[in-house]
Amino acid sequence: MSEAQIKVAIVEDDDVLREAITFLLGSTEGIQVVGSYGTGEQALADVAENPPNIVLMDILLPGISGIECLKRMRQILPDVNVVMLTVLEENEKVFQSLMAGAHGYILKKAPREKLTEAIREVWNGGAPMTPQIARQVLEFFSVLPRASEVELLTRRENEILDLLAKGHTHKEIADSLFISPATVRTHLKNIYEKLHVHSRSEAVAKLLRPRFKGS
Amino acid sequence: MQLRLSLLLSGALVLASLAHPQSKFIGHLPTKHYLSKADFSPTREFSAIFQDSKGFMWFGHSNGIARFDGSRFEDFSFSDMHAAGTVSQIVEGTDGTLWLRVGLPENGTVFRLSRSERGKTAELTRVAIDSQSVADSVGGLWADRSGRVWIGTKRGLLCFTTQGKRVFQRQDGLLDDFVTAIWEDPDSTLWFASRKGLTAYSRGLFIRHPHQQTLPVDITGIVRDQANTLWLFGGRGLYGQARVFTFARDKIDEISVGDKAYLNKTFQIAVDRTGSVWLTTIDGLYNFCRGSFVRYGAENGLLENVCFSVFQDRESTIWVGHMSGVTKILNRGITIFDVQEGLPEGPVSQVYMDSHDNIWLATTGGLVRIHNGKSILLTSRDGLSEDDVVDIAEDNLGKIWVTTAKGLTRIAQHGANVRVEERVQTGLTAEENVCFELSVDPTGSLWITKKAGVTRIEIKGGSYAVKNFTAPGLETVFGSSPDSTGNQWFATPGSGAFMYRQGKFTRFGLKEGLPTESLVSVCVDFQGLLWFGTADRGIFAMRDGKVVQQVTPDEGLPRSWILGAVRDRTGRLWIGGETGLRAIDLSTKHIDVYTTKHGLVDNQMAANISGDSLYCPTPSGAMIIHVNALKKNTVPPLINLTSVLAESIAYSPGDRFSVPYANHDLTFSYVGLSFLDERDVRYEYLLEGYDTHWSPPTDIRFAKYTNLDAGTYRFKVRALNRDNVASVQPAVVEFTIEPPFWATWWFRAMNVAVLLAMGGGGYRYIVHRKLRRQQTIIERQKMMAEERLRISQDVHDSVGSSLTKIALLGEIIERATESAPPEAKERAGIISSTARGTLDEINEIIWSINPKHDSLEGLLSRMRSFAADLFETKGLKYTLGMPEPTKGVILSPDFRRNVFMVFKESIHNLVKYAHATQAEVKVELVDQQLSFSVKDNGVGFDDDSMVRKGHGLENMRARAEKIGGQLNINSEKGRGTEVQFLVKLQTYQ
Repeated sequence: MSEAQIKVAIVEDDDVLREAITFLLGSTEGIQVVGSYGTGEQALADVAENPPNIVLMDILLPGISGIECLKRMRQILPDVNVVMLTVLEENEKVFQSLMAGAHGYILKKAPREKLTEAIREVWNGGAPMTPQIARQVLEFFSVLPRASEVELLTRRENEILDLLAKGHTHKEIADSLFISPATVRTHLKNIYEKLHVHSRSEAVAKLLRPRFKGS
Repeated sequence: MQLRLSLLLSGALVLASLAHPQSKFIGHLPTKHYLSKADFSPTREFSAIFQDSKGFMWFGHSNGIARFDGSRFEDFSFSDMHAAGTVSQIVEGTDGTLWLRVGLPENGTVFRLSRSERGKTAELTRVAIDSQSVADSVGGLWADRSGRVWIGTKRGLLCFTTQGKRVFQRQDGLLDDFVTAIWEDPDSTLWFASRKGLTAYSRGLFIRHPHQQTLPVDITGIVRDQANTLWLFGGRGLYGQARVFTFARDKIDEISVGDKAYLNKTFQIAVDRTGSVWLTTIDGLYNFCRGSFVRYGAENGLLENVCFSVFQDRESTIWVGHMSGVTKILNRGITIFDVQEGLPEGPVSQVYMDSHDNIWLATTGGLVRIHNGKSILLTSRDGLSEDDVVDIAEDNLGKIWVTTAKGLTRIAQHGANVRVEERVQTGLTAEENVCFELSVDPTGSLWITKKAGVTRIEIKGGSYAVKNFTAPGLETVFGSSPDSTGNQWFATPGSGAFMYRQGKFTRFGLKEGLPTESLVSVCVDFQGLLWFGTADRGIFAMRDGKVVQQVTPDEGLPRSWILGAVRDRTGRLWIGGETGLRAIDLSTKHIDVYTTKHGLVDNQMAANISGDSLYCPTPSGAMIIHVNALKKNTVPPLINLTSVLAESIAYSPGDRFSVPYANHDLTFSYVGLSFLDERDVRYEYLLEGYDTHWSPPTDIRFAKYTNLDAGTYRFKVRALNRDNVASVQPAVVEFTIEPPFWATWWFRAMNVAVLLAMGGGGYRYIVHRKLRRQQTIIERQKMMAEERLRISQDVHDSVGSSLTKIALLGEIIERATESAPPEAKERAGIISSTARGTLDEINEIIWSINPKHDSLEGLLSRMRSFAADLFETKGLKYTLGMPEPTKGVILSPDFRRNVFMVFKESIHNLVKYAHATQAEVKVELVDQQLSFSVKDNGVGFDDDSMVRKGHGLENMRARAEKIGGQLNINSEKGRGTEVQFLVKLQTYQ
């Protein structure tokens, strides 16, 4: 076993699905399943014992929701990357979870290759984004109250989102803007970061009272 | 002439200050950067910045100019490529035409951009000087207040007026033909600079002020400072050595700048509204202020050290042009310290200036001292009891004391050297020893508030005595401060306030008017009042043991922690807390709130005061703020109507216009200009003739009205800046909606006749029924949309989950069950791929019934992305032409789904069966018709064979028919295939 194993944890309430995904990932080279949890509560209680690099998180969980679990997980493990699991793309919650700090989503039905590809992409600093999501991101930033502390998008980021929303592929965007696909990825990653700031303001609030840390 | 001044004095000052140009300025200013490539199109050398009379910002660079309206940059580039050079000056004529100087004297040119040309063309036109040539060798450029535009050329000084053009030369009274710089003083006297000296021009008269010899350089800039000295600035070439002259008592004197490297490479001179002079240089921006130069460089928040241009806008914001972008300096009175100054990442819990003007910062990663512009970090490795430093104070002997959660450390400094001298043993357990605040009383003793009681450290000639105090109720103590009579006060979150005097603690609580719960901070002001901050109840001021004043959350304070309430010399009370910095006028209880919008580094902060500066630690760094630096932006924003659209026809917002009834849906676009925070401009609008009130403030830059009745209207819009100051004059446009045929006089007349015949009741009935019908339709549509969403949710939850399980279990059998026979594995594979296919279809159906995707843009995007993804994975060469759809066109769900399926099938067939290497897809929108063509260079087919093979062609035809579309498939064996589809848009009402 090489050291560069990606540690993955799965949070999924359906036993059959959880076991199936755990099984499929468990037999994949370069990926080590370090946790497999049936509820968000259980995941939060145990995740720090064997911290994963990437968490696959079901959007619809009983008890605390996948989005809530994602937020709290990021407080426990600030560096963890969370990829949401969803049955269908057509789900309002997909975007909500991206806002809350997820780095992408994957369909549960995805065959092993796609699943591992998505995990590797996120692990390598990528931030996959579909046209639908791009459109929602653009909408989100366009209706933001200007007083909000969320950083707005740069002109280049807007351009990329706009092209993406119009259905251009990453490669096409890279070609038409004369930048490398890696740069497109970096921009997308930054866009995600700006979305996350929204949810991070909660975390920042906890940093306050620096002089009263003991209380 | 008001230029009489003590030249000797100002000259001496300049010389003295130039000797030490590097100020001790440390920390950085709140700035915003606009970058070439990211914000601007790729360009460089931002050598001119200008704000026009409508409020737009203009940036001159190496490719032309860019206009910034607060959200986007619009480019205007040179009409001919031979005009290589950088735009070095922008002026505006009274008619709104912009005149640009490109390049430098010797080879400069002038370009022009008239207001009517904007929007029509993005090109700048070269100005023709005479019939033979355009304006070459241009030096000075100026648009004066009376509407004349002056251009200095080698052949003379040109003056453009509405009547035409005039040339002035030596024989007309100028000192020299070639004027290289022009400036108009407040008395409307024009000053023309040339190598031979200055010529003043006023009321048709030239007055010469010749220099003894010829000046060594071309003067390229003239400004006048607050002392009424004219500064003449000149250089040789863009990167040449600069020379500075002053003009007074009819004499031009050079100010020797000697060998000062930074002045050798100086580009521009400018003066701000206070009359202080700015120089842009290759090594930073210099501001001549109170007799000395202050330098601003990259370390102070500028984008780069190289500065070409500097400009102050109507809100007094300073803009700086660099090689690869522009810096906007938001507030010069705020200094920020964070990672840029070498601070460890994480919150800062204290910022402190000691008696040697060194700045100390308590961070979670150690203690930072900034001395002479350099920072040093001390951590536990250097002897601190812990890295996480909480508070800092200086005692009467000049020693610095810091507290951490583990105790107290004493630090000695000698010049640049700093070292930890000692860790103080307090004799308490680690748990009890958690330290919060550190304060020094007038006798020089230190007081430390802790999780359990307080500790006093008495300093007696180099040694010290530690004493721990507890008293009933004196458990956790947060704030601490001495009062003006030498008593020490403590704020506790559980049992009110305590005062220590001569070995005894006295408790203050409800009886004295002070809450016993939630006290978190205490400070004493210059009048001897003690100000207590609470966790949720506002602030309380106490004098002689009684609460004499309070400000509560009901009066506008936040219901959250108040980390310091301090008063400045003018009596204003400043409050640091969790939601911004507040300034309270205690006589009126008026509260101003300042936040990151005003340049603060964070909205959460504690606050201390010393002199005229607030010291504010925050979770993202520390700030030192001059109390006069925080001001509301009282400059009203300018507002511009940018377009009026009726359906798809554009009307000029400047004119009164009239719209046919058929186009009675109008969209007004506008932009308000305030750059202190351009993202925080909001709008209020009112359509007279329709609205009765102004709209609530919105940040959306357009307003839409549909179904306007025939009549006359006036649309008004005004902008609000970040501090809610509204435009003085709203932008206004008047228009008329023409009556429809059934409202014209002849139709009405006919109606009257009919109504008379059938009785008035009939007409009313018709109107009423029409209204009711409209209501029912709207209700039904709403219900349908809800139903659609419910169904999609159900499908998602139940069917989707089950199919996913089938897909995954199938895959497990296929891949991982060693013992299974190959045929069984293969079938398992088919099970999982069938399940996945079904999931795709379900997703497709849910997509098509989700009202969120109803738009035409959504459909086009999905078509494009589907085709591009598939072509890319299959490695086909392709072109994809898509139309630019009008926004907000809503399609019927059935239509969307069928168009997409026909398109999808065409692409699928191409990829699967055509064996093509190239694909060409073109989607077009013409007159409410959507068409697409999908073409390949593949094998082609005979129509018959394909139909038999059942490649979904019949299915495509059926779908096309269902929405009334025309489908043509042209193919010949070996000659590729082209699918053409044309359909009328079916929109949703």
